[in-house]
Amino acid sequence: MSLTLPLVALCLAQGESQDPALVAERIGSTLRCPVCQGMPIAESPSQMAQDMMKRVREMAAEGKSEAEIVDYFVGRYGEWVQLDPPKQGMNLLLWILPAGALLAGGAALLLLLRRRRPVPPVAPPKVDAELVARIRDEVEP
Amino acid sequence: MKWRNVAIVAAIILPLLVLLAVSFRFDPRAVPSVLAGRPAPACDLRTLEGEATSLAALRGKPVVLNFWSTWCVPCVAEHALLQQAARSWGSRVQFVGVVYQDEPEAARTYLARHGSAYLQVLDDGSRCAIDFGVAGVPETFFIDAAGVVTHKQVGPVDAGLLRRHLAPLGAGGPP
Amino acid sequence: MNSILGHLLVHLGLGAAGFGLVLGLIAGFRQSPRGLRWTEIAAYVFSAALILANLVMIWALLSHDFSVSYVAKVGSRSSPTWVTVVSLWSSLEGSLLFWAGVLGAFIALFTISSRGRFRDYMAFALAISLGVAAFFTLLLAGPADPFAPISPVPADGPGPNPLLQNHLLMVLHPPALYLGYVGLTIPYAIAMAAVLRGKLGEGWLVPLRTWTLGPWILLTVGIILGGWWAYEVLGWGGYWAWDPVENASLLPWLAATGYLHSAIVHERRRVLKVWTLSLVVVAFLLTLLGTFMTRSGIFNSVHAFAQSDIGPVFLAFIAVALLFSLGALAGRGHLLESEGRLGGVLSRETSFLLNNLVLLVFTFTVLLGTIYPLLTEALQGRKVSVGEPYFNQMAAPLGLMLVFLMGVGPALPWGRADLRRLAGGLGPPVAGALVTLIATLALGLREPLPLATFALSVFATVVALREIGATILAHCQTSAGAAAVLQRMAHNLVAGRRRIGGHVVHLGVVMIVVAIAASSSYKQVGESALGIGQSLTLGDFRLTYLRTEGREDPHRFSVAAHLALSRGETPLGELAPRLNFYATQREPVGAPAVRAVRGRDVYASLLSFENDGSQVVIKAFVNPLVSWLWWSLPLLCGGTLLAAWPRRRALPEVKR
Repeated sequence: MSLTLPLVALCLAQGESQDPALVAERIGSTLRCPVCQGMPIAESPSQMAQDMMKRVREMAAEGKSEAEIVDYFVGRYGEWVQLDPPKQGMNLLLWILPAGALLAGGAALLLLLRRRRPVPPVAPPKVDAELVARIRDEVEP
Repeated sequence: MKWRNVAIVAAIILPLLVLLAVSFRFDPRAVPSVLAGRPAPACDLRTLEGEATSLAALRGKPVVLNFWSTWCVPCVAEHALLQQAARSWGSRVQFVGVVYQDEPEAARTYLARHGSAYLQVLDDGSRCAIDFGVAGVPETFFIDAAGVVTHKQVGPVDAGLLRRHLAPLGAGGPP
Repeated sequence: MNSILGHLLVHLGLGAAGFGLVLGLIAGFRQSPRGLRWTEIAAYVFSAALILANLVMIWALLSHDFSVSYVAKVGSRSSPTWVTVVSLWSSLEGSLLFWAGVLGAFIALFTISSRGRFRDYMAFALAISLGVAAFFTLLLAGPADPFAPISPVPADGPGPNPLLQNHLLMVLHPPALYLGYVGLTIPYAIAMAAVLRGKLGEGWLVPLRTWTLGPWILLTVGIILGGWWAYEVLGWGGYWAWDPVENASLLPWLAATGYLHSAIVHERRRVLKVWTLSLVVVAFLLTLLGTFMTRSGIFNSVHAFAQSDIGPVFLAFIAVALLFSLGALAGRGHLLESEGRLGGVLSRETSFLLNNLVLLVFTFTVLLGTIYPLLTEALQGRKVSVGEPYFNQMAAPLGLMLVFLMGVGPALPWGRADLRRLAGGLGPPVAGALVTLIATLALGLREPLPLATFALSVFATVVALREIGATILAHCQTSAGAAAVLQRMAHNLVAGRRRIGGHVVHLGVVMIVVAIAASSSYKQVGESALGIGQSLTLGDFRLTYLRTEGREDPHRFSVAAHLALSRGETPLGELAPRLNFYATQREPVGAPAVRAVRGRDVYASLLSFENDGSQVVIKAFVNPLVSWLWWSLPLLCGGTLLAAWPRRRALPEVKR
């Protein structure tokens, strides 16, 4: 589990460029194209998405901040337009539940491995030794 | 595995099934409107003849704003009804048609053939459509005299719906 | 005529499947050889009926028999022949018919290959697979009937969805995916047979493993081909969009991958029996969920079939399958008690268990993200979207953990690790990772995520190569002469084929991971309107607009923009992205042009054009290493084939 934290930190530490064209691309890839099927406007070939993308580029060129541009679209299409749901309220479940599952699973695993069970005495089944060897051969990686 | 574990797994999975069952009621294609109750965007537009105009200029009268195009089947279906309504309500309500994602020439030809009883405008770069959060056509917005959006209709309108949403705007009934 | 024949075959299949389900269960509990024989016959009858029904449908499509409802829905006289055949699975009813036919083929193959063996499990296994078959056939007989006769008979049909007509990959992607999806029914039946029988002998593990590996690799190939198709057709320069239906194909893949790993622990340490079987069950249930998601109309996606009323029936079946599986596992799982025990905290077992944990959390995350919008709408009436940004963000750390485990796992011994030996064993891969890190830093790359991915990938690659090498070279004495060494190596290759195959697959997975990291972090994008002679520059590539050409095909009209590609001063030929226009659809369908240049793809899409050809709008990408995704296919398939290769007839069942 010591692996998890640095990795998460790594993913959050991705650098972000301030070049308006790249800002526009980045915002465009988080806004949902309303006439397509779950695609971001930066990727959809549809006319509407391209018009919206043009709007994003204009606003970015005017020096509007990322939040302002996103808010503009949220104000018109609602929260629905964000492909990256805002991290608030019930949406937090999207992050908490997987992280919780990972931690709980890791803890359960640790308990399982730590539990020193006495090996139950099992009488070895009487089978032909050659057969056992062949089975081993067959199933062993 | 014991029954207790089963109960736990079932407790997780059964709500999932219920959720999926409930979801049959939802329309995955519907896009919510957030404009109702808020001032309508000003929208700079052009008439089919090329003159500049804007929604702001139409304030003072209730407006029925209809986004449409010639390639959209339900739009073509509701066209006659909108013509009829625009004539009946006459000067008390301003009907506006916004040509959405279509060639101006196609719109002109279509209107010449099927009648044009109210103001038709072009929306360069879909700016007005984006301002209104349009996600497909036809979409119709009801705007009161003060310029506040009172209702958004997704899909074609019918006579009853027009009456229902125009009455509270002080437009009265059709004669 | 075709309608009647089709109906007859579907009903025959339904009868045989229902009969086999009931009889198989009885024969299983009574351990009756005669019952088993009749169940086998029912399986053959079902298979034959459904395969024939598919042939009837193909014949109806090819002969343009528009009196059959499905042909009227997707057929068209102007479609090329291959499009007509592909229409079999292009729409809801046909895809279910194809599904049932594939299941029939799998059941027949399973019955034949297990004939005379595994007698105490086979009745159950056949009963369960026929139960699944009965459900799909029931859909064909009722709510999704492809053979319904219609009158008056239309003269022509609309043809299938234009997106499906655009590329030859559409011939391969859906069948591969279907084969994988449907194929997972067999391991489910095998697992449930073990549970119902209350024992899991060593002999029964072999078919379980083989019948999971087959669908697993088909699913893998189907998913990758789907990405390839999207890349070649959709024109947005990417290959994976976390669309609900793409997610639906990933979910069973993740669970089945988990099974393939936990099965190794089970075989080695005799533990985790119920857990391992549960993963197979989960993978199967997720295929049902995925099919439901594609066909119920509650998700909006490129892949979604038109709204239909099979959703509720399907949901009911999922509930039945779920309750049956859970009940059987709970009621009889204790009969499969674990005999062995796990090793220490730092051991090979632990790495496999962690792998299972990460894969399951991955599965859970993808499922959560996919259904979350339904959850908010049901609970709060709020419409939200969960898309690429969320999934990428979550998949990156989970994927990296898997790559890390892929490298560390094989370095750990079974049982308990000796720290000194472990440190020695990790030396070369760690050195490889560090060299990669330094080299990539020296190249000027600074983004932490791709850097970590590359370093970990090299780490895992070194481990995989060393494992392959060590397995092949084991006990080779150079003093024995070349012939003896070669013979020894050949023997090692055969004896260690599972281990080697597994590591070859790992190499393929590393290629995919590197391709994803490189193409998502270092792609270049440019979009501009070009007049004739004007060009668009992307890095060291230049695209110059030459001319537009239109072409009339029987089923479509297409416009191609010809662009001259050059790198520096070197001309690299022409790219001709197109827009295809179909009569039935307003929005044109793009056909981007791709050229691979030394590991990078130059990718151009035509967005729009002036009718006189004076100007076009081009969107272009330079995508590094995307081709590695497709090149991983030989490694994945080869490795799987090697791992699954049977050396001799499987063993007789161990008697207890």
